[in-house]
Amino acid sequence: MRFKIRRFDGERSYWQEFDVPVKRGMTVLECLYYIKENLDSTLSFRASCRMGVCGSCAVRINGKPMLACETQAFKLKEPVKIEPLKNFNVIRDLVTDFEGFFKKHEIVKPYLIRKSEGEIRQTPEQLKRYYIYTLCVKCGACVSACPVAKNSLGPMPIVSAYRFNEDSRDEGKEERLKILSDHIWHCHFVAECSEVCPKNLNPAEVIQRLRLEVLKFNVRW
Amino acid sequence: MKGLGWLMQLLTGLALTFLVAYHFLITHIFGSLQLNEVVARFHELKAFYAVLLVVVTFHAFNGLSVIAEEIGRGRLAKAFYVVMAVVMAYGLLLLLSV
Amino acid sequence: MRLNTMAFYLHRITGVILAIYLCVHLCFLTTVKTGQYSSLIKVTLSRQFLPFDLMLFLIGIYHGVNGVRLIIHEFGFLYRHRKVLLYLTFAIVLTLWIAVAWEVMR
Repeated sequence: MRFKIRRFDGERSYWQEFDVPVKRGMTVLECLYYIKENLDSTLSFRASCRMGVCGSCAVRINGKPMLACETQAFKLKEPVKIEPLKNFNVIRDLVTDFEGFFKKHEIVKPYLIRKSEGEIRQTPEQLKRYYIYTLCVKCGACVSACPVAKNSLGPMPIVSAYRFNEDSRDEGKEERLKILSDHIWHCHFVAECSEVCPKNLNPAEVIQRLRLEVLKFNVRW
Repeated sequence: MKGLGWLMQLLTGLALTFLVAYHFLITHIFGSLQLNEVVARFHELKAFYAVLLVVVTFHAFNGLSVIAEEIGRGRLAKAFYVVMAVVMAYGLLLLLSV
Repeated sequence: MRLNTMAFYLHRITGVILAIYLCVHLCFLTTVKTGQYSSLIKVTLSRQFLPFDLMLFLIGIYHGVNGVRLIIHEFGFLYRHRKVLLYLTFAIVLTLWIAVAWEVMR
């Protein structure tokens, strides 16, 4: 199959084509490894677990951000265009700078805030409320798909804030709602984030629900 | 404050679908654009047009303000609120003087 | 997937155009007072102006119907059916536009 990969060497940005012998069952990540091992060893990309739980290999494939390790090569239209994630600064080839991404995440205090002491108990029902949102792998696909993510928090931190707010062990809901009062209004419900999330977390829905909560919280004061 | 702006944009938007639809119907379908009819409508439906003016002006310039902020022009965004007030005042004066 | 982004950009562009139209419309209405209204209305009601009017209707109807879809979702409803609502939006916009164009052209 023909692959067209967006290369960047620090100065020049250009497309490079590769012909990869693809067998049924190969993922895009395996194709990238083939290129690196056999065709051009200067190709740079991030990857780690190869099974969709680390979030490292998110790239834009034919325009849509997805995890390279979870995408079957044969299902794609040729030539397969692979580019780095949008709304991120490119360091090299397919590797983007995630510093800003993590800094924005820190803004919402993504950790358990708890002052009570003693044993923490949680029922399975309480766990169900927020469990799927713990599955976010911070891959950045949602941020890449969002047209307003450059100047705002982006979908991922808001989903993370929701995950902690709904956690029965957490006591920092008010703090986070106050923080989100400054950042949550930029969403215009384009809902691309929900289309691309590899874990099917529906960030768009979460952001709307959280926005209404923030509104109610602000009106109370 | 920003949250209120967001909420108002939604509520004015919803109101506008009805207000603008009604305005369109009485202007283009169930009425004509002849000067005498237009003036008559302004006289009879002063309250409706006043409400329509305020709501649509808020929705339009608030919307433009949000876009201005997102492209990084904070001062332009604030300026739109001033323009909003001016246009509202001008429109109301115009309506009341016809 | 790209349909969502397209809908968003269209909503923005139609919004800006409608905002500009609002200002133009208010200027136009000022002529009711200053007297040039009758001569101006002859121009805007002419055959040549009809395509502009029809464009305006399409822009307004799109912004309104898509806006209602956004309002429904942003208040937290019908999220599971967002794809259906998106397609429905375009269908309704087209239908309403054809109906309006038909009525106005009579």
